[in-house]
Amino acid sequence: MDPAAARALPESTLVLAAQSRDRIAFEELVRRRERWLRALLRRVCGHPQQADDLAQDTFLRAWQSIANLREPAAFAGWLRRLAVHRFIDARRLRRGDFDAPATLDTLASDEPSPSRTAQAQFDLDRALAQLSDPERLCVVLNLGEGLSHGEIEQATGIPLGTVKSHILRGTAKMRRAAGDAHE
Amino acid sequence: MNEFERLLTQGMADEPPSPDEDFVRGVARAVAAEERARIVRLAIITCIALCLAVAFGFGLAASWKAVAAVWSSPPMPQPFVACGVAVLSAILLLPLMRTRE
Repeated sequence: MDPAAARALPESTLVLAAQSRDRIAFEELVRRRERWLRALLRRVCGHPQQADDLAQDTFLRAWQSIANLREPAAFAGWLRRLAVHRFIDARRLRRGDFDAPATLDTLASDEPSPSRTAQAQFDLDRALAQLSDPERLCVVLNLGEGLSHGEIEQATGIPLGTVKSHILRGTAKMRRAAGDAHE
Repeated sequence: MNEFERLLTQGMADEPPSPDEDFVRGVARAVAAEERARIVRLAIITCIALCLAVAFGFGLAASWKAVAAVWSSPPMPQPFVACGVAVLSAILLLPLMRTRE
């Protein structure tokens, strides 16, 4: 497939082409989805470099298993699920326990991120860094990605009740962080 | 959704305006390397499967020869049996050629 032609094609057509091992089509899919996926992983991870490594790994896994994707239109959700599982696996591998609380030092980054906008009157990255990994994951998927509690349960494998409590607790922590920042 | 959650949602909605071509190229390189590794894996497994099939076929042909020496009129000509066994072995080994996706 010609790269210029690939740019004009809809995503589902590119997915079908990538399923027949077309690398140009897959590269175009990466070009269209990398900003979103890296932004999501940066919020979830806190470390831009780790997030980029995870994003690259996620795309590689996607290439290896794209033939298993039954519904081409569901590519974005499928990719997000892959990324979430990669994040959970990486955290378990590094710390041995995904549920362990995060430390501010390892998560807060000095590098400016796109999430710092004029409207955000407090440091979103710093507030997210106060949360544990599962809390941050659930809050980002709920508020950042607009997923329902049930969808988060499906994407992460965390039980529904735990998802709800992570979101409640996480949002409350961030609200407190915002309050502290204003004082 | 209250005002604070709306603020969080807005903050999380930001993405860089244009694609990072360096990142795209990095992924493309990783994918190309993965494809090369996959082809090499497939070639090695195919080669091993064929070698096993041929060796198995020759082994059986040799043992058939021993049987034929004792039994003067075998029911089928020897080369056909050897080829049949080789093909059967290759078919049995085919599942090994599938790589994990």
